[in-house]
Amino acid sequence: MGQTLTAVADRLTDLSRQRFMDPYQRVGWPPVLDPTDWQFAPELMAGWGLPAVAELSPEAQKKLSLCEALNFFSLNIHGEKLLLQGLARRLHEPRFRQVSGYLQHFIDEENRHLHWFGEFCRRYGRIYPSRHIALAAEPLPEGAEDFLFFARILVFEEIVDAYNARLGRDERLSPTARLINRLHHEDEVRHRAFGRHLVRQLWVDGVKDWPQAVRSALGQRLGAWLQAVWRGFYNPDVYRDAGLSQPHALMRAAWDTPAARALRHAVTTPVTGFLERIGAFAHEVAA
Amino acid sequence: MNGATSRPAALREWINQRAGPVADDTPLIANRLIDSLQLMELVLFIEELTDRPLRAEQLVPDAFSDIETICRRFFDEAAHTEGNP
Repeated sequence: MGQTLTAVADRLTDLSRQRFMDPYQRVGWPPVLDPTDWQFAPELMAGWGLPAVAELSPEAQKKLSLCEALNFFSLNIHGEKLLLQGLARRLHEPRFRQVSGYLQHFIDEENRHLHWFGEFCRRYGRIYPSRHIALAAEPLPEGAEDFLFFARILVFEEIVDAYNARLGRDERLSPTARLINRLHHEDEVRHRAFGRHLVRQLWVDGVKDWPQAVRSALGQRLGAWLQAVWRGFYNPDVYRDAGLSQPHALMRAAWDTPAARALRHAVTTPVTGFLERIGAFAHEVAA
Repeated sequence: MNGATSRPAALREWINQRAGPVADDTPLIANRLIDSLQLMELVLFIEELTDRPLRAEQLVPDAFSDIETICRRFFDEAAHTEGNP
């Protein structure tokens, strides 16, 4: 790994130490959330703009926003569990020795996010199960597996952080939901910076040794991952729990609205553009 | 779509549209006829057919190995528990 990456990891380690906190005291948990507050920005809700949602009473729309927040935090829980597993597996591997100090903080910070998301979901609703079922795939060379793991994490974190950044400063949200998103965003800024440097380095270090079949497989699997991440934002459980009928039809309709397509494109383009620039995507992958 | 008798037919049609014509015991995952993204969509499709979300412990690859298994795991159970969600 290059000196630049090591320097970045050292600088981010310093920043993480400066921001060290007790996550179990940082967020206060009111016994109940104010039902007149939004828990998720309405225009970021998957079904916003659909007639079935527009016709809801303001109270019912707030309830739907709670379900959207529960789904968003559940997506984060599932994504961060995968992240923690992969980070823990690599933490003491010699090939990651130069960045292992930062990986330790990465793990610590993801663990505190899990605490916040889990507490919110358990206190005010539930954790929605993931419908993503991992299938055994053709094994790749070790370096390509590393690249794929960190590139998937980068894609995931860039997408959710686009939401965190907006939700964390949205005054309409309950103080609890807003704070969790803000704190998450503050950590994710560092994780994304590290992720871009590491993903670029892993690609540069490995690509010259990977045959075309491996490079194609990486592109395909990243594209499928991108689709799967976005699919998770459109969850019929949200509509069912909010009391709406025909939740699957609503999910499909929400996916297809022009506003939803535009949002996915806007959120996805920065990370797919980055992957294109380093050569990992031969062409833009539509979300 | 909720009639128990129409579910296997609807499932076969869904699979055939994506994997081509297959027998009920053709391995779908082992033969890589459906990928992980399609599997996610299949879960949603089964939920819609049975009008209930699948439980987390049901979301394992073995439960979706072929059409026969899917029918047994999800449609037989749904028929037996009809009206008892």
